[in-house]
Amino acid sequence: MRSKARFLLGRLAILISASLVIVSCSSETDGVPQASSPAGVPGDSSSQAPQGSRYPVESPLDVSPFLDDPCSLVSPGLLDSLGFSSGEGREKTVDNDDVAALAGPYCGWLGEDEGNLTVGIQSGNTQRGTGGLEGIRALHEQGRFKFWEEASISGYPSAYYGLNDYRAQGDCSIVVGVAEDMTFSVSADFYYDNPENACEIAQEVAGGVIQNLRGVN
Amino acid sequence: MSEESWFDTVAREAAEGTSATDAVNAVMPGGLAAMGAAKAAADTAVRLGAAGSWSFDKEEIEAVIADWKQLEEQLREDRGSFQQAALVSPPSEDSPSQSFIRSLTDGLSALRDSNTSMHKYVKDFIDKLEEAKSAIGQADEAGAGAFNGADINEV
Repeated sequence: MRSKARFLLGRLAILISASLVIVSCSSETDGVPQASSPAGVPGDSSSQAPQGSRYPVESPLDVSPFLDDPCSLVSPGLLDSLGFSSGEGREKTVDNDDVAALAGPYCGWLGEDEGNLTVGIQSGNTQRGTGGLEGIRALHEQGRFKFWEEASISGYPSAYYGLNDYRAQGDCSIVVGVAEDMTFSVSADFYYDNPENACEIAQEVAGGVIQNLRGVN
Repeated sequence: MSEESWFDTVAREAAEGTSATDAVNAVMPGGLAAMGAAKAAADTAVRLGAAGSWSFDKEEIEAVIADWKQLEEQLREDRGSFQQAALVSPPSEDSPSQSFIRSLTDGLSALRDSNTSMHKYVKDFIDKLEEAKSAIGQADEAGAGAFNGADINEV
């Protein structure tokens, strides 16, 4: 039961995410190719920022120390206070997870009573030259995210997003631009009984991640 | 129930709407073969009041509950993968066709809805199994009570 469930759902996620990457390769388009950063390394963000970005980042934060250890993005104290076991983060990196190989590293925690928390770094988009909140906004404009509500977390541009607005069902996701070509995301899901908690937790964790990133920058 | 591959099940649900039962059955080894046997037994246990009997004891039902809890955790874990997959962008600023984007977005939405539906089904079933386990425990206690001296004296 366990392996088959994982095979089914994991494989579907991989297939779809791979399709999302392939989609623009199916036709030729005139243009000038742009160099991307080395695998998962943001490098000098200011020099790679898309021109005319709607989401300028005044003090870029380097996420590279966490690319191999995404579970450390959130402090154990914060996790414990929110009902997650800090020592039980499920780390997904380019080395052990196919979705992470396309999207970037991420880490998930299961709530003790309810809920699920996932924190990820979208370094895959950065590698493809479409990183940053501007790139995620482009997905919204292409129709992928029907729900898009811009916000600011600790002075960094961010947006609540979703394939649809699932907040009333206890699901809430936020993506934060920490450099003009780099984002991290926080998703709090499965808060059936207390749906209002989902966005509060997502916002609090996003603030905690920024605090952590500032600590190493 | 006729054999149907998981792909066919998901594709059909995307077109016709999600059936949680089918979705869960689709990920069971051999459909309702192995886990289905336990499920059928569990269903019997859940219907204690109506049927008046069940086919496995407390230890067995605890093992079944553990399996279903494991599946529940995996469904929550899978949501994290979906969330990350949804943020994957195309490799350039080329604008893909709207119809293709729409079909991919629909696929992601169907995957998310299927995951939610399966999770609710599994969570609800775990609750029923827990109730059945509790009922078994109470039945055991009542049975043990019938053999103690106090009850005999009362009779």
